[in-house]
Amino acid sequence: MKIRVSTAVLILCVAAAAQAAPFRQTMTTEQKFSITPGGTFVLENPHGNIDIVGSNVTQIEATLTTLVTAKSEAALAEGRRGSNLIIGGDAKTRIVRTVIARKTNDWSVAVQWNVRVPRNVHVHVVSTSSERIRINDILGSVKVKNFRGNVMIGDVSGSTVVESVNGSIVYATPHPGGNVLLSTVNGNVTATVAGDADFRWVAETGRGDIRTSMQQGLRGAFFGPRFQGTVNAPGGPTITTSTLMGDVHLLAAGASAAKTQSLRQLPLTESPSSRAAQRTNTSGPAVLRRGTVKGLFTYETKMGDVRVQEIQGDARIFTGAGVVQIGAVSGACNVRSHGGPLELGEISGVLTASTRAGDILVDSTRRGGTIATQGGTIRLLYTSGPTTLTSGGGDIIVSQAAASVKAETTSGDVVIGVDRDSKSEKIDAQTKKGNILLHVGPKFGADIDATIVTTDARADTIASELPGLSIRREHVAGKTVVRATGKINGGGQKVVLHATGGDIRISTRALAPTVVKPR
Amino acid sequence: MKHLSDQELMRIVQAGDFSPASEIYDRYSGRIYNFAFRFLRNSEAAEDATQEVFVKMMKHANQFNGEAKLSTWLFSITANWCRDYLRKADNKPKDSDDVLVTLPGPTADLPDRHLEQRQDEQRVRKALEALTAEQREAILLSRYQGLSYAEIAQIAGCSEGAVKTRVFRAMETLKKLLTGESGGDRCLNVVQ
Amino acid sequence: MSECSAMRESMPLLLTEALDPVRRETAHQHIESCVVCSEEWRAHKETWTLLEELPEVEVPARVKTAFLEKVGVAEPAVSNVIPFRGRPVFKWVAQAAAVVVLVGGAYFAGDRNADRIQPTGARIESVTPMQRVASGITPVSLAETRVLDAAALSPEIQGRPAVRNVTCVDCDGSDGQIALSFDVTSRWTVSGHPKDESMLRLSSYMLENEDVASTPSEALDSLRRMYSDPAHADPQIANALANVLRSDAHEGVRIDAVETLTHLPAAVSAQTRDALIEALRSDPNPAVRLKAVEALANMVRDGAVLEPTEVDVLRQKALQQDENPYVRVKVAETLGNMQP
Repeated sequence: MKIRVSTAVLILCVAAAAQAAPFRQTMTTEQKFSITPGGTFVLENPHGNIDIVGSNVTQIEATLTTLVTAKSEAALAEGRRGSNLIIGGDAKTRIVRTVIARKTNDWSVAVQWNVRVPRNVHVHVVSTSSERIRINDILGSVKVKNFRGNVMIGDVSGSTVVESVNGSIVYATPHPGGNVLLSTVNGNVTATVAGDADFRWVAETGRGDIRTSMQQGLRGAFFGPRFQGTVNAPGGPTITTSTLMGDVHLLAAGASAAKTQSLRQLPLTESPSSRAAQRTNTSGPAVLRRGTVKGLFTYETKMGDVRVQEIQGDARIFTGAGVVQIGAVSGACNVRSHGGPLELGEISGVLTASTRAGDILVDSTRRGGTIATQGGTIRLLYTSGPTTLTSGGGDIIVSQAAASVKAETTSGDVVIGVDRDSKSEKIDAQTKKGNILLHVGPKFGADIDATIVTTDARADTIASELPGLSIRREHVAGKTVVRATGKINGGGQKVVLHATGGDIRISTRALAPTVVKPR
Repeated sequence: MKHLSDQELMRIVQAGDFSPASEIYDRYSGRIYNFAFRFLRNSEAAEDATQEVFVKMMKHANQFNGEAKLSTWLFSITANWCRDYLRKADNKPKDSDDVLVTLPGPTADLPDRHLEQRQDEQRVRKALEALTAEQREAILLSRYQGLSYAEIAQIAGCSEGAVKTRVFRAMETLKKLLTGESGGDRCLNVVQ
Repeated sequence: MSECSAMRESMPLLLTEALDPVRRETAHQHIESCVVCSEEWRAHKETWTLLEELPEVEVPARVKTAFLEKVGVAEPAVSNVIPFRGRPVFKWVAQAAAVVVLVGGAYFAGDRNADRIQPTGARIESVTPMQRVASGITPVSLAETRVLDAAALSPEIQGRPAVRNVTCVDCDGSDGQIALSFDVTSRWTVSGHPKDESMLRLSSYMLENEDVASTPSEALDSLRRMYSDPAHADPQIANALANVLRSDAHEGVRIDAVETLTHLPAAVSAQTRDALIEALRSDPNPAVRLKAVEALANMVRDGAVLEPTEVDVLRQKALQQDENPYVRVKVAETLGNMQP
């Protein structure tokens, strides 16, 4: 296929009076493009509103209104020259692009398109920003991709795909003839269909709610955060409505948005795996803030931060994604997150803290506990109860341990400072790639069993400032295993240290204090 | 010349006799050219690369350590040349400004090769383009040149572990693009 | 790392049959017993096979002609005659970072264009501390090949330097010469301003070189901290960290690298955006992906404008069902703060 590219010159039809500051000029032009029945119209317009409507026309008829805004006359002239229309393709696939020559702070161009197309075409629109994109009355398929700006689709018989980032999507077609995919990251999605339409519905939102006024004909179940079901009879197209931060609405034509009900309140079938998701508070705030809470504090949210100054009782907190920041807990503390950092202050009871992604910082846990992250650094400033720390990748640092510690990381250093007054503690530290540093008081007694596995026996070593260890080396499967065992200061609790690809150091120097930024 | 090993040919060259040039070129030019072509996606640059690699091989023959493989050394020179080429700003592959080139033409315009085979070839080319330069280098040397990770590490100037990671990530990306399957990082036994 | 994650990482090795028999057998047994890995393996094999679709291309004949012209060799006529070749007169030497010691006489070996080092009585020993290189003095390369007459080497070897990879370049001695090639470890102390080109290059090399960087140490941490100070930040350091992020096999090291990138000023780390996007898209560790998003968010806050393809990666990540929800939220926030 021969590719024909031509540049159309924008004709100045109406000259607006230039304003003092900023300088503005509006130009309008009419364009016509041929297209075959069933052809595809592709429009790429970075900035500016787009209105496309199917009509009784045999070709594409467009009115372009170009608004140039500039800081000076000269910049205005440059802006006028700096925008071009490129027309390509052929009658079967007509491609039209508004191209801005260069990005600059001196001028900007927005082109508003008002287009009439034959109804039986397919429409593809690509836009960066606009206030709105509106497409109506199309028998073919519609595809829209934009970054910012609301997208409104109406009466489209064919399939529809809308992918937005920050825009909201409104779709209204009584009986969609093809599959519909409406997805945005930060906006809302609203789909309106006829009350008797038959279709499959898939809906998902991270932070928002899923609501419908079509409860009567709705059957389905939640699978984790995603709803899958049918409305009325099975066998129709699939309407997928998806947003991360906004709400999803499915409305019957004529029904008011006020009459909708949240799906989570409907008696739908639940799969066992989604029951946990069902328990969470779906309409919690993005950030829950509290000062002092007396008694048991229980809170669960699908997505949101939790910031509480003090809990005078036990605490049970779950967030699907967010920061958890607690100043002090006088009882037991159970904090779980599916993603996000945890910052906990003084925990008087047993602590159970886990996150699937993020760092964990704990000031102190008096009764010890379990602290785990699947990826991130763990810093525990003080513990006086048996504590287990696990990281899926990242350092583990315990500044002052006055009880037994078990620490394991897949890769990263493990640094443990034992309380200077402790005569002996049980320590178990493992890293699959990294160093282990153990800081103890000069009188600390223990039965040491330290092993490093290395491919470079010269680089990785075991060193102890306290005497009493003897070293053995052996070669296993191409690696060197160096093992140091013995009693320090007459012996005591078992201290087991295992590092792969790193050093082990036992030092009597005090661990440097960890600097923590104020909460 | 054909009966002499690479090391023997290189010793002749190191002695100042350039007559093995043609034989060495015939042995390795195909591999070097194809590697450069697939890496740079530019036939002109691949031709320049091939020529310059062999000229460098002749001029700096004394840098060749006879205990190593000649192919490893040649790929090393080629990879360095290609990286330098890409580093220059105006040699970075640019996306075509004109969306029209992505439109499918009528089948009558396609060359004689079987349509499906040509489409697969296009898909593979596009998929390789989606890789980073380091990943593409690693997968080209591993998959198409059959080099070991140790050899690739030497050529790329990184560790074997890094090569393993690059090949793994390249395969994940290629798998996603060519078969539509993405391996999640969650296995069946992940704790909830 | 779970067994299945480790298995996936080994699949390319399994395809190239680079695993030893025991590990190969273990891998196949696991694949046969694990539904997920079985599916993964099938997809791997399919991809590997599909890659074959890329055909070999013939080298244009003009390339050979141009090459032979440049080296001054005539294109050979096709012939069945194999010329007799005598033994070469000169011997070849070992690669870079080796010192060649020639015993007895002034026999030259190595690059015939290299300057010969005159006997000075220099010893192989530690070099501490090094004086700043004044103008007019040729800079020393960190790893250079040295060619020495034996007479230039002091017979005293102080400090027990580590000598490794010894090879016999020429040990038959029949012509009165022998040559030994080896690597020797010596300790260097290099001082200079953080923004000196050589210091930047050295620091980048250390941060990037896996054998150095993946043995975490206070020294490397201090280096990272120092270079995240805006006064010292430099694109070379950012690029070195980006390379670590792209290719280091250890999560802890990648986490350190991306954490440092998060604190670098946006202008310095603009070139590392590719590495951050790649890490967000495909790093197996959620902490790395999270920190990559935070680094990108900082760039956007400082006014960086992402390419449409980069925006698309973020968009897909925000909507990716099996991605960690906090990572998705952070991506959505970053997108929300972006100016188009």
